[in-house]
Amino acid sequence: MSASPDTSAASGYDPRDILRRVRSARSFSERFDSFSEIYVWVLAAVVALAYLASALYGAIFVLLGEGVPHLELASARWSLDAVALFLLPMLLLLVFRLMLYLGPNAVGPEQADWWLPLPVDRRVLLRPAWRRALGLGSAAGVFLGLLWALALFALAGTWSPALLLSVVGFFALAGLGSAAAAGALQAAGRQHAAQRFCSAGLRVLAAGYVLLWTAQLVGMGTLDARLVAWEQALLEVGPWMVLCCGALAVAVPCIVLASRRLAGVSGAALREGGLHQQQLAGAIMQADARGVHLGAARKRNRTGGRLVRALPVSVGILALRCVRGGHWKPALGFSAAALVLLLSVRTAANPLALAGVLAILLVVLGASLAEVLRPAATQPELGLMLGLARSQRERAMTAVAAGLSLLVLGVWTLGLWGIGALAPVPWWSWVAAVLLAALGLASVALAHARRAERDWEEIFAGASNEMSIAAVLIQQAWTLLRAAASGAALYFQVLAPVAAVPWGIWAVCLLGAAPALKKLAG
Amino acid sequence: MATESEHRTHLEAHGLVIGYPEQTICGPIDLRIGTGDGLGIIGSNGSGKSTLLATLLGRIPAQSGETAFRGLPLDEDSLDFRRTVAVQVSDGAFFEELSVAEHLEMVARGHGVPEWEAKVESELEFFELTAVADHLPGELSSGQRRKLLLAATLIRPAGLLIFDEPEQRLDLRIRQKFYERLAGLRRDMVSILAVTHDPAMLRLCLDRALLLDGDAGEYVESEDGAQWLER
Repeated sequence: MSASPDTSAASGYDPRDILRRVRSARSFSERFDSFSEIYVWVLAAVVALAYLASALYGAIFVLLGEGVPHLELASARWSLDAVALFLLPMLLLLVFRLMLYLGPNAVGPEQADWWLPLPVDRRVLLRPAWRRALGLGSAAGVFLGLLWALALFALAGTWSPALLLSVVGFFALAGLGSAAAAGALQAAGRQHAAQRFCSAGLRVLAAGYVLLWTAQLVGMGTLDARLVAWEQALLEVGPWMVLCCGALAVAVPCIVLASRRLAGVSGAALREGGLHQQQLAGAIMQADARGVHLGAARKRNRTGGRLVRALPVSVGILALRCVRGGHWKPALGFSAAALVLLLSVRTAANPLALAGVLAILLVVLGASLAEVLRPAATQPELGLMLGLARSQRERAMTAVAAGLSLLVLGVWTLGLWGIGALAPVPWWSWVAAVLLAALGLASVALAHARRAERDWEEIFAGASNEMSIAAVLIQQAWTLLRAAASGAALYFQVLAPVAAVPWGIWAVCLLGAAPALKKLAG
Repeated sequence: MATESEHRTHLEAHGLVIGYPEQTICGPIDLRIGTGDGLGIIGSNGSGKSTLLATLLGRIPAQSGETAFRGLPLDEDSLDFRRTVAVQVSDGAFFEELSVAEHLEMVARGHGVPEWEAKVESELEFFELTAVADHLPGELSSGQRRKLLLAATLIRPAGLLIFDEPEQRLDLRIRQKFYERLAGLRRDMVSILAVTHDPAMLRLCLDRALLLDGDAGEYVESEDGAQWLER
């Protein structure tokens, strides 16, 4: 790939000279700008750390349920420390997965046509990206390490500088190794396989958690002692130092391998890496996680085709979108994780945690339902093609969203009654709360679906000032807040089972449900 | 094509000036489509053909002038409009999870087509989509997606068909079949309004053309329009 000296000498054209000139042409102000960018990113990381740490402390506080009566479930055998044992490899897998998207061997599709035909050594092109990727990997590791240390402090109530250093050091090395391994895999064009490995790893960890918990339930007593020993190891410097050595032993060969592959990376691998980065950026900019799966071939799925023939066309299409598009998965995945946590962790089945779980469920469900409704809400011509007026489309969308919400909330409420976590009196109050929450969620989903085509990149690029960006973000946050607020009556009954729900809370729920009621009434 | 007593105005516009908030594209334009009429809209790139269509359908507000459907202000949501007008929608308008056959099934069922199964089969066959009947829109080529949109427009009963460059990405053989079919529909008193760049479409299935080459546009016979396109 290096430039042929003969050609360069004969034509007087040296592409390396172009690169040199491009770099040396950077003025002082451009250098200052890039320094400012780093400063802004560090500042943003500190702010994010502060917010995430607060959220983490909140979650730990809720799951520990300090000061509120717990439900003593026979199945609850684990402590939160033991859960942290599973979170550690999960976090590492997530860092690795992130680096598979942000690795160095990537050239965006627009740039690829300009840069790749140049007869220069690819190492010259990729070296700055390679340095950035290693820096990003270790920075992401340090970020997670600090979060992890804060969580350990919250759980154990004690820490030492040596423990903090070894935890952060391990995560930094793991991040560095992840970045290098991701770079090597990118160069070999194995990103898809590595991503499948990450997904399988996460599933194995979840299955391992359930298996160990089940083994404890059926009386494998030796596991209890072993788990306690592992939990304690998390608070000692020694095991973390061993982990640091292990991470270093993996990171060094990965860095060597990846830097060797840098010269031989193919144009196809660079283009694929660039496409992955674009998809991630698009997903972040559009606030739509499906963006990262755009490259994957969608499987044909004929589920439910005949069943929906009994339904009106508009309802049938939305039902098929929900089933075939996998829009039920986030709510089901969250429900399963929350249920396992509530059943397996000793302090988790408490009113605070139950209210928290319901609030998150409503937000997750609202976002998923908005995805189901998105095409019908944003492309009126689809409705016209089907011969449906706007009022008919909106009624169908509201009915489907409310019906699915009712189903999920109904199953959750009955399930919590089943394990004794809720008192089923007065029944009418519970029924009203679930109905109003479902209708409120339908209103939120329809409103959110109408904004789902929003292009964040365009908004940020086109915003004349911070106020206009803030206005959009506030609108987005308001949607999520409305989703959570739909369940106000539910939370109240979970937190204060013997008290009657105040009229003010019913009024809040009714306000949330009003747009859906209006649409259903036509 | 139709006798005076059968002739009924579907869509009309008076003094229509089209454009965007800070740019007028053309106008004033007067236009009328009655039962069985076939009108083409032709012109150079950027002359406002698709904008005129979108304005006629009420999707872009007119800068001035009026549009009416059967004598009343145009309302896409009115039952009469939905029953009568079939519009070939834009290229990206699909339900990602529905197969080709299911798209046609939903449109046919949505419009109450009797024996829709047979109608779906026949449209798939006509547009040579049978082999990809269970494919998702994302798996189709751009030409196949265009065929699906045209099939969805033709599978339902309609009195007025509106197309925006239907010939795009179709091979010549399918174009010919499609135009012959449109000519047959016109004999059954179906009206057609189409933006086109294809002289064959003007010659085979349209009577007149509105040539957007100046402010107000100019009505020409289909043969003159075809020659203008071929110049």
